[in-house]
Amino acid sequence: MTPATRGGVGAAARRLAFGALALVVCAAAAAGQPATPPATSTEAPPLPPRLVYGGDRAFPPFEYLDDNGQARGFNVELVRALAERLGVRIDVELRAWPETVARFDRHEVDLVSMAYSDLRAERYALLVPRTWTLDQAVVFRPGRRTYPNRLDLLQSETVAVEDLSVMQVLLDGLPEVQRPALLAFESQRAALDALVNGQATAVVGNSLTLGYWARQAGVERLVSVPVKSVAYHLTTQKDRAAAFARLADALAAFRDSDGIDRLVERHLVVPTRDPEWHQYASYLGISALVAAVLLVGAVGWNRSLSRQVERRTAELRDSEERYRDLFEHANDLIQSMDPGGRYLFVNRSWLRTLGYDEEEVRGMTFFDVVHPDSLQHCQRLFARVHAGEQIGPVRADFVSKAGRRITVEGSVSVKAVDGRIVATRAIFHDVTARQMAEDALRASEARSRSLIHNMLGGLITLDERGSIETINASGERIFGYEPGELVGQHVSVLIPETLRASSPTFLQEAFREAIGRVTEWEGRRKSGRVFPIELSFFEFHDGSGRHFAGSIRDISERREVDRLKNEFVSTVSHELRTPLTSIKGAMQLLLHDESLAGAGELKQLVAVALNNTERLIRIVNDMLDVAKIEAGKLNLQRRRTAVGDLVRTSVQNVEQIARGAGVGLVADVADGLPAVDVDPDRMVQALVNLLSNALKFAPEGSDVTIAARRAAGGGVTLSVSDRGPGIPAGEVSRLFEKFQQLDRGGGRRMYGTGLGLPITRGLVEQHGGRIDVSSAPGEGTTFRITLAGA
Amino acid sequence: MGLHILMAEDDPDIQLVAGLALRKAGFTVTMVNTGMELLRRIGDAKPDLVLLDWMMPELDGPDTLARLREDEATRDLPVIFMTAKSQGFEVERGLKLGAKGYIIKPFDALTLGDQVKAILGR
Repeated sequence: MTPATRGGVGAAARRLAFGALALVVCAAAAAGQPATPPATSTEAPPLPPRLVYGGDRAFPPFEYLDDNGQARGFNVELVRALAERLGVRIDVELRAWPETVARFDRHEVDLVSMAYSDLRAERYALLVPRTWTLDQAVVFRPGRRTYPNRLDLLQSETVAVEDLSVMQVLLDGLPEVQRPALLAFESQRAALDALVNGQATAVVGNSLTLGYWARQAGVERLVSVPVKSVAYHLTTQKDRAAAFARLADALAAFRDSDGIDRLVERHLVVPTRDPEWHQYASYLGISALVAAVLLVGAVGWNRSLSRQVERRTAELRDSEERYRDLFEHANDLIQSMDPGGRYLFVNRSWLRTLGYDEEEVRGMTFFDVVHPDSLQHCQRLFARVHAGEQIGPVRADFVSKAGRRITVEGSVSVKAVDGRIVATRAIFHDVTARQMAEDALRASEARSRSLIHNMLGGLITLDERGSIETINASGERIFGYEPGELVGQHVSVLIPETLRASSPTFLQEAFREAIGRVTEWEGRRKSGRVFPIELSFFEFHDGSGRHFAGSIRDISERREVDRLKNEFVSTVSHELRTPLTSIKGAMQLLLHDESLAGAGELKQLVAVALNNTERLIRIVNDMLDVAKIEAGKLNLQRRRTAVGDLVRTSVQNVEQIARGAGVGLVADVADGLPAVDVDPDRMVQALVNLLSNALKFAPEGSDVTIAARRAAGGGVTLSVSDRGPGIPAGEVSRLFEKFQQLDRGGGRRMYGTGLGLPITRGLVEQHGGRIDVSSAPGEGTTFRITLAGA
Repeated sequence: MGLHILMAEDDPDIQLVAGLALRKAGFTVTMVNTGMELLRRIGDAKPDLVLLDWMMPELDGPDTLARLREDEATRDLPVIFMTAKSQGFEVERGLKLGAKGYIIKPFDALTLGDQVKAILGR
């Protein structure tokens, strides 16, 4: 329904013209609608001399009974005009519409006017051309959240409708899930009353008729949503179609001579000054007045009016097209929504971006395209806008038909008429790509930050003057500082004081040397401890000037590993070179020195060479054993072995050495010991190592004892004891390290490899046994091997 | 009489071989087993030079050298390392400590005397 407005006569006339224009546009829009093909023939039979036109007594402004019971309206005049043209009598009988339909079906009525539906087209003969086009509307009470704008969106409504009206036919024809609850009334007026009194939530019918009845009833505010335009036809029964061919011809001729347009102007004007037109009488009066004016103005006025209409239409079209073009071709997404959020208009860019076509958008609301993540935010925005709030730039996420997330940014404005919001418009810019780039940048930043934070090396950045700008967690840890403690301090706190003092330009030199190169320096921990670092610097520039970034590694550990490696190589080298020195020297002297005095010296040199050769062999064997043990590749040939045999063999092995040293050997094996599961050769090797060791340090005349006893856990313990100088407590832990020949003053000089005890421990452990040592300075040393019983 | 060498060496076999080689080259040689023994006897022995092993019990070569350098009487006494320590950094360290020369074992018994003389002649 046209909103109530007040205006001068000029404005009213203009609106009148636009009203007519609107009707013309609607008619044009409906022109494509199918209609029953005309049942014409070149030799049409004559019409019966008297016909009955049946109509609806309450279907203004098309057909109705006025207060005096006179039939009036567009259809009535049309039928009368046709009767005149055809020279027949047509009686007009207006009743309640259902009654008229019943009479029509009983052939008591020859002619009716019907809006087109497929069902009616099948059942009746709808004469062509159509007489007019009916705009159908759904009318609601205001204050709803949404106003469905299609018949198939009314399923949750209770819809009042005129019985046997085209809208009832159409609603009835909907699939069950889309069909609303229907209340049928004998007139549209009664249907409207059902809406007003709350019986129905919507009424569906002809918009002009409903508007008329609403004004009649004095209902101030209703929301009318156009849903459909349907063709309006003079209709007869199928079996009489041929007989009415002449009527159809007359109708076509009447239309061609603008007769129908004149009837439109007389009857189908849209009232624009409702308050004065509350009374049907005044409506009629003004209608008559308008009609009179039009008639008085006659053809000239009509021409002038239609020229005016044409000109204004052209102007409007131009201006519309200009803006339409602008909207349509804008790259931004432009949308206009009604207060319920339903789309009134969206531009091409909008359709393209969101992937919908125009048809689909018609049934959609703004909230259908809002991404679920953004829904609450958008609902709040929508509410704020509707509360009259001016809101700044907004950002939201939409979701395309294909499910793609689309981020938009833009502005929202409202259109208000008489302080009432009628539309919400928004212009959005698709910022998805930017958003994605921003997200990617943020993610990449977070990744870099995490990488820098978690990397094991230290990373520090300095400004040109050497102030620490940033330092990562590893950097802080390396230098022993708390998080954040170093930022802002001068980098010299990380440099040993000696270096700081030695050269005021130290830093510059350090930077110069370390730029682009990995260099080694000394750093200073918070505790003051100096430690080796590896440092490389690079220079970078940003908006705030020149900076240095330094990558720092604490190489204390690496230095220690290097030191141990060097020490190992050095020791091995020393151990091999020492016997070789004697061998080489002895051989050179034997071969080249004729002056060597007697056989005594010659023999002595040969013995030196031989002894050192054997020493070399021992060293090589020991080193191979160590390598095998460390690699876990010692191959044990285990078998059940009596402990007594192990002891006896070991003692035999060292008897000669003991005799040479003047040391006694005592074997003390307990009775009834269990056998052990060992590689006898390897276990003897372990025991011989311990015995040799003991013999080195046992004072002349003392005894070295090897004893075998039952162990507490059921196994066997073998012990080797000497009465030597003992081992200081602090050095016990070093005993089993490689190449650790403890300096035990007073000990007999022996050619140890420094590998005997590490090998012994390795052998015992490979057997699943345990070795330990107890010693006290001055009281001797005892090594114990504990093995499980076999 | 030739120059008197005080030699510290803990390996008896090397003592034998080096002693023969040096005496044959005309040196007078006094052998000691450790650095400590060398320090004890240096006052009486009054050697012209010292041959010093590196790895010895009680007091090793470098420490012995440091002690000789600390003492006014022995500060300028020529000291030559004769050792199986053969890596570059070890030679470097030995010379840095103030040794006049560095002979790596196994040495050449036939030319050992000439090597010592060459070092002294520098």
